[in-house]
Amino acid sequence: MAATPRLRRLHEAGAAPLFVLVALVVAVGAYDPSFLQPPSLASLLEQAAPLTLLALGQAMVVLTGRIDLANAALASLAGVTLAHGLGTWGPAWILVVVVGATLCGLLVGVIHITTQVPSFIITLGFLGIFAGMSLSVSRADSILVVRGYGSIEWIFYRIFGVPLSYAAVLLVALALTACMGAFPLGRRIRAIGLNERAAACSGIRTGWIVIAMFATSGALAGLAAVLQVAQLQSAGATTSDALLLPAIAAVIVGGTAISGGVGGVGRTLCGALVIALLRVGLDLVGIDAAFQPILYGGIVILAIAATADRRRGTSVA
Amino acid sequence: MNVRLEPARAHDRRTPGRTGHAVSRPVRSVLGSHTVPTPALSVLALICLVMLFVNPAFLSPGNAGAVAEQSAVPAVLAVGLTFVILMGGIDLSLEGIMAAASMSTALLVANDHSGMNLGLWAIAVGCAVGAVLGLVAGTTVALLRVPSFIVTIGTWQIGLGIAQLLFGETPPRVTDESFRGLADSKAAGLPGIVWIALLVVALGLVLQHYTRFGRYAYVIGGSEETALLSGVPVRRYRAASFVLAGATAGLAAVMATARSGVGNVGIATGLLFTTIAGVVIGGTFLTGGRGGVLHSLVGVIVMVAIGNAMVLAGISSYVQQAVQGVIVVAAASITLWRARERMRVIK
Amino acid sequence: MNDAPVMEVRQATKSFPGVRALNDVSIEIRPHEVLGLIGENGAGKSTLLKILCGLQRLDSGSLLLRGSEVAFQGVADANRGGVAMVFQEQSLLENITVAENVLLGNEHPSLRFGLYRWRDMNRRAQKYLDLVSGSLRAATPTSRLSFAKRQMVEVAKALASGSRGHNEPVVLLDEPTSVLEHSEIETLFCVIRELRTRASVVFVSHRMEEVLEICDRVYVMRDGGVVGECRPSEVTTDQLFSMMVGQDLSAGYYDESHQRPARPQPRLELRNLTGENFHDVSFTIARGEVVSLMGVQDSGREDVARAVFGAVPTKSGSITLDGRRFVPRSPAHAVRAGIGYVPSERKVDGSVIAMDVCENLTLAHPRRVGRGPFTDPGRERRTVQRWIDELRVRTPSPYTPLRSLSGGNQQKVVLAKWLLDPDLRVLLLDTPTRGLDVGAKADVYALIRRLAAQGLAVLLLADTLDEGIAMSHRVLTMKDGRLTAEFSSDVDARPQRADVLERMV
Repeated sequence: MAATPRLRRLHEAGAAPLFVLVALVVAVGAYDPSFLQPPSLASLLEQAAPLTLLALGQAMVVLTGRIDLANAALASLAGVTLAHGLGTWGPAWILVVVVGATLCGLLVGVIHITTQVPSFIITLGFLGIFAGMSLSVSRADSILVVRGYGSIEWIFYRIFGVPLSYAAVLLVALALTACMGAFPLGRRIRAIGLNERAAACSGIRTGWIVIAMFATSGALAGLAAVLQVAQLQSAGATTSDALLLPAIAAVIVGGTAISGGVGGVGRTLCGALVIALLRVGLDLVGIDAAFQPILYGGIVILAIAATADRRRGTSVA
Repeated sequence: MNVRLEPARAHDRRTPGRTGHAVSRPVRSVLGSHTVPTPALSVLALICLVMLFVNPAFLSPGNAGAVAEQSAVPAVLAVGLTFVILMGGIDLSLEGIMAAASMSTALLVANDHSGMNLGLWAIAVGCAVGAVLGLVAGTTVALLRVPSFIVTIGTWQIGLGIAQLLFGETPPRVTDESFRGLADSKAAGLPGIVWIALLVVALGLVLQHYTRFGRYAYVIGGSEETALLSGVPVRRYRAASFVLAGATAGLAAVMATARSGVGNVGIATGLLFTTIAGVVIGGTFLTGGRGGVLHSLVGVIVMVAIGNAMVLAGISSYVQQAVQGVIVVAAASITLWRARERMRVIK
Repeated sequence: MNDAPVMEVRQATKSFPGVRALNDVSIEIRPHEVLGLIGENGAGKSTLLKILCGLQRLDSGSLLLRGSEVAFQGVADANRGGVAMVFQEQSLLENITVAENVLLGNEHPSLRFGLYRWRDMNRRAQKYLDLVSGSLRAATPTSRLSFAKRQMVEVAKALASGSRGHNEPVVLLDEPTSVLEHSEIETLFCVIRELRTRASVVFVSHRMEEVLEICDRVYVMRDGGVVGECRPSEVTTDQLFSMMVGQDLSAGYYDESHQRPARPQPRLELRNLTGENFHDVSFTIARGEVVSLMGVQDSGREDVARAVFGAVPTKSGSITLDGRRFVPRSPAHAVRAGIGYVPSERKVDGSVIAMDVCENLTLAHPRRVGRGPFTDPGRERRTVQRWIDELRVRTPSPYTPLRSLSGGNQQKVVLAKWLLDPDLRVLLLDTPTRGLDVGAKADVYALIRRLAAQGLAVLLLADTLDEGIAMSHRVLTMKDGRLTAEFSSDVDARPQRADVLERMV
């Protein structure tokens, strides 16, 4: 237990995820040197792209001390909607879907704030709603994108070996970082996560900012869906659902405190890469894919345990 | 232990229940009764009334029996979950625990996969698998004081992973007839699993009303500070609630496995919703301290009845999950609506 | 009546960061007496009670129970020693029965094979309930009871938990009358008199007349020490008041030479403002005026300030700001209208202690240190540094977490947060000097003077009587949610402290 405060300090400084990432790259590279070839690295980044977007959205919500259990399901819904309409409506449909996903996130946030019901239960409800809607749209079948695929296919081109998809993700991350740094917004979000009452007493519109973060999470879920449809050329009702836990794990491993206020964009990028790399590493070593959920579950619990704030007087239910 | 009396919350407690005083006494004593889940019962009555016009087959004895059979598994889940929620926690791991328990039970009774044949002892193992996963979640939540929803998401996935590891290539088919008989054989017109569920509910009610575990669940959910001040070992009881929820999830998995005859990773798909929605609609507050086993039972029956009614009314099964989601959001919002306050911080 | 004391505190000292809450306090509680504790806010009464009931431990000195020294590990431990407290906020749980509340943590005699025998539970609880009131039934759900009855149940609960350890327990009552109506108080007093035959009672109240009526003996506390001990039959109210308020502090402490007359224009005007905990509150604060609103805990004065800031809703009445109607919908709205608020709980409401000085300082008005909608780190650093120098905030750098600053310096940062706004019109200060050391207090006082001189309207919810009177142009008193008096307070014609106190309690 003696190491825990030091661990937490490392964690808060954001150095830990980078360190873990580098160590993992070295380890996997040592096991299989061909992994360090640019093409395999590029395909790793491509695989990590949708996960990273969902993790970034989740991180924004977690920074305010909330959680969004619905964002992966929303990505699935956006995916099937996109695949369904792309042939008919053309490239403009992409914009419609992303805006729609943003509005869905907005709605979740508005309901959470106005009803004052804990976010995990509201977003759990919306997880069901989005999943049901995905099933309705897709009729529980996967939708193959034939017509109009050209309008999204390019996302998975590589320019001089650099995958465009991950470049797009980096662009999003950069935009988020800029918003957090160039405006007082970032500071306000952290204040809400650290002490929401004090933030409100400083005249910060806490409700609106929380709603905006849910909307951001929705928007990024929509973008993640675009990437996934482009990658797979198809969409199923539950395609993105499996990314919920890896994305949460990425946020926590990245060093964003589940209680809010501590964390950021850059370290979530690292966290997402760590999770993606773990998956590749497990495959390389030849460990059964069934271990993956166990691993994510274990990582979430351990990372939470390592960073838990034991100074609290009463426990959190 | 040094208890921090949070001023922010002290402010809320200064005016307990004053808002309710305006409503006249008799009305309030019926509507606000904490022992009878009046609102959920009226919803049930409403569903019956509507279905009378839409499709009277809903009210036939045969269909009522079907509703009872469909309710059995979620009812058992709800009994365990109720105590977790009464203490102000949540257990999202039910589906994962059920998957692991279902697979281990199916592989331990006579089946076409493994050479095992423990007979009905496998039931105990199924419950134990659930209890152990519950213990992992419970100790983590209680000792480290971290939110239970995130920890139980972790154990959910761990359970799911264990189930996938056990799964192999094809689903193990149960060949033990006495085990399958739990679901098939009928007594007094109702299948065995319904009787098991009734027994679990009865035990849950005893637990709720006659044991310290049950009574302290209300105390802890009502105010953890008061519980600590009175020397109640809060952490131990909180951990125990997760163990109980895990064990009931294990039993529920056994029942579901007996019903379907195969061990299945997806055995519990959708049950988390039915159960949580049921518990919430029954009137158990997610903030803890209010509700009970009976409430949850009625709530679960309402949820199953809604699903059943939607099928009979010809509504697409795809829509049903969405409807359940809407019910979760609506029920949680309605029950907690009165607690809203300016500057209140709810995460 | 002349037996050895049941409980005794000897030379007790207790400090919190920045303040000494108890300083060399010695008291004794004798068997079968009702002992009163009186004193202003912050005199040390609550700290003393918390030590007696096991919530807090002494820094030095000793606590003796029936002749032997004890160190309680917690409230439950104190109960085992026969000491029980009736808490100020009602601590009954609404969702269980009266019997369960009374016997909470003490159910085991009624359990058989791990199962409750409800009849036995109810019988045992009823025994204690009958001691305090004839009309309480053990099996009733607690939510059905009125406030007054709940208070009686609290007393029964304290009796029950105290009786676990000793059949003649010590019962501590912390402001038990604050939520009760007049007739209910009479009933409570009958209970207390009855209680005296089987227990020792410590009674704490702000209301002087109650203390005089019910107590056998009274300790007067001031500034963390006991300044007098008397029997109610032998003293007058005035004598008690003068003991409570004590002597003047050294002149100059409150920077009174810098008090400037208020300007004629009214800045903030409240007309018949009514909310949950206050009724029909009307007053005006002019530009450059400091008005102190005095009242004991639960007098509703905090909520008046919070209502102006938009943090609690109002039911009726109006607020006018510089002649224009102002309906505060939220704190954010009030801040944009030029209102600043320094809450009493610095670490809970006032600041984000995990963030650094600079971030806290710029939290409310980031545009004042930015360029348009953007942040401007350079300008921010210069502005923050200027305020740090001007207010003499002792901090290693602007980027030090607020957590590692002393209370006084933290409070200066919280104040500076509002001063960043050049359009600030009204400043609401809720006990801004609580927990600060003397030097930091003087700095805050000087700052308040300067701000008022610049034309700000200041509503001060003072921590002590002295502070409230010396700092203000006018003193308003509040009691039970209503204004009770107004005193003008000029530099050379301050109102008498006893007069002010009399309208508060």
